[in-house]
Amino acid sequence: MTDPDPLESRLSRALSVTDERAQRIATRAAAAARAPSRALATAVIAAAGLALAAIALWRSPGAPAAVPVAHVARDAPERGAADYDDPGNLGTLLRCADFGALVRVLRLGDDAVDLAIERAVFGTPPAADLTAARADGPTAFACCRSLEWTEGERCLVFFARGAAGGRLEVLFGGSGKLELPLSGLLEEEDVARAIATGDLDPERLARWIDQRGPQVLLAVGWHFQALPGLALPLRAPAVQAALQGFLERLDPAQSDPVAAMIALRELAPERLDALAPEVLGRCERLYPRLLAEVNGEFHAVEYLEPFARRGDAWALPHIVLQVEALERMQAERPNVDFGAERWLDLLRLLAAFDPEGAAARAWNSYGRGSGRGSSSAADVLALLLEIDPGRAAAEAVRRCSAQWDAGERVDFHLLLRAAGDESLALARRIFGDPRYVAARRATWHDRLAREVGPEHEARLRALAPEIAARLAAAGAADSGVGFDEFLDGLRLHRAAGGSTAPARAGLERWLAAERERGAAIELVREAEGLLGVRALTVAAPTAAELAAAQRTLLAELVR
Amino acid sequence: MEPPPVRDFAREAHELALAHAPWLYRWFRRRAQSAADAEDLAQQALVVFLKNAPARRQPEQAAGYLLGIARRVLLDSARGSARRRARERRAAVPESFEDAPRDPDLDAALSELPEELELALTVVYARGLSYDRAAEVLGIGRSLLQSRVRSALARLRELLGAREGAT
Repeated sequence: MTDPDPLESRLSRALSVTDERAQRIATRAAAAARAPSRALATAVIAAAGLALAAIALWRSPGAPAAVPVAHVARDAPERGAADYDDPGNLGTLLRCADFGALVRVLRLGDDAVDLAIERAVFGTPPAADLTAARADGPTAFACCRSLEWTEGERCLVFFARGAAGGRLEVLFGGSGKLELPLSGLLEEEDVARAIATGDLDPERLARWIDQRGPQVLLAVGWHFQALPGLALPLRAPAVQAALQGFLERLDPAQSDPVAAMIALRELAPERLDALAPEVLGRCERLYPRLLAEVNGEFHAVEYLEPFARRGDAWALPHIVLQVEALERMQAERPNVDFGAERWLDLLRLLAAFDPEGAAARAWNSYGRGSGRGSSSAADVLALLLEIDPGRAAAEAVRRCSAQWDAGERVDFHLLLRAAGDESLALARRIFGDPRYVAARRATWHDRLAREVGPEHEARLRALAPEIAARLAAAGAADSGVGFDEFLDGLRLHRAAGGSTAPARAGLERWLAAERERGAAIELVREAEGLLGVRALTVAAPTAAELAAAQRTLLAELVR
Repeated sequence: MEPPPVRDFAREAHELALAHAPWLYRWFRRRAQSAADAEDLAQQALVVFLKNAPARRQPEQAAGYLLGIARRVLLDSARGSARRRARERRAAVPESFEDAPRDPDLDAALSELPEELELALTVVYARGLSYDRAAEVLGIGRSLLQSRVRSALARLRELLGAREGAT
């Protein structure tokens, strides 16, 4: 035996990497990159030359033809799926599912259906619950009897653990089973990408717009709702170019006006401004056909908004017409919900041309005390703070002061929007009072926390000490402040540039608590922002990944 | 009808990451300030690799592609915000997290090697891989790998001889 080469020994010592470290890096990276596309996996696996291509997982070495089969009993409770969530909303499914897979129906029986699990697209496949051949005994999977299957069918199926961690049931009875392509558009790879990165290939989206029109955004957008982090790449250059191209080909006599409305709504202002006058003229000539559509008036605001922003005179009479129609309806049938939000939106458009006229209409409504239809006085005053800020700020102070003195819920968002020292002083007085949290007569569950934007930053920073004090109080275990309220308070605190310390107790409490998945993701995102730590690197984390992120943030908090 | 074999992408991604993590960590360790930084950077590079490795790439380019990502990740990290750097400076790195004592002369000599030679040595020695297995990870032939390792060792001896002779 020869002695080892000293240089090689030295290299081994200096370059060796422990199993623990290699596993740690790989596990984190794989979790973060979860569910890469099949094409990618094929390429990189081949590239690495690893023996991974013949994944042994789910295969018995001695039985190469065996595939994992989920034996799904058709005896789960019916959950009224027919009128709920159909077609399946990807965001909702990811939020609720424990396991999602691409499956093929092998055998369809009266009491059970056997599914070959071709690909796990979400969550960890429950290996112990799968069999290499059809099982006839008790099964860990279930679906309701009304869920329809066809032998040979290939589809996505999302499962959730039933009560007490029992069987994996197909979500929502029926709609946890999705036909591919979703909405006739999203293929297997699109779903994998949405789960892995929270978005969609912009080039593909642009191609669909070219082929089928901007309406595809409604269909595809449906699948991206309901989970923070899932977002269509609407501002991608390819998508914007496709929307612009649609408008440039617009035919006032033939084109679908709702499709035009969608294109106008999603097109960036600078692209709209770059359209030729002739194209803008065709948009104008198409508008009357929008109103002729069933419920076309509900789309009017979105269609007219870009033109009001540009100050295009042709939009003004149409806006006035819509405002007056709503006001007429309200006068004739005062107790009927007349579309108050639409009325406020139209007044906002009107203000672009005639701020005094819009303000007069709003004050007239506000002066009636109870608002109009379903609109609250606070909503009207919020609009007035935009279009008649001086007078509205004084009214906001009067209103909030009276609410505070009377022990009512305070419209705090109005105070933060209102300019001037008086509103700031009142906001400071209210937030600085321990009763604000203790009595909970004005909760943290304030709409401002959800709408807070850069325009509020200066005012919030001025109130930062008071907000921090209230957040600290709200975070105490005996505060009685609920999760949503704490989360809203945390958002305000962050928007005010707050530090970690006042949030620590509440964050520790809520991060450690079990709660609804979507809310937990929201809290983790807020905590990440506050702590400057990225703990969650996937759009749709599994329960284990979410728990790991919570642990990471907790460790960061106690460091 | 015979269903296709099942793929578990989470498992595949993990296996793939595990194949590349050791050499990638070592590559970053020679360039980052701490072991923790090197781990983070290796993880970042692997995430980009797993998500974005395009199907059009030739298989033999995989290690090179990952190396390209690693360079970009390193560059990005150098541009990282002051806030992040300050936070990381505050973070106490446990002793056990660090590697065995560094070998500065060897590190310096490795850094002077052409990149493909440095990579060949790192892949082989990071996990004590056989030439066959290391060649698979790199996506090159066994003979080419052997040739690179031989060249790298010879060059390393020269560099270390000069460096240690000078001290």
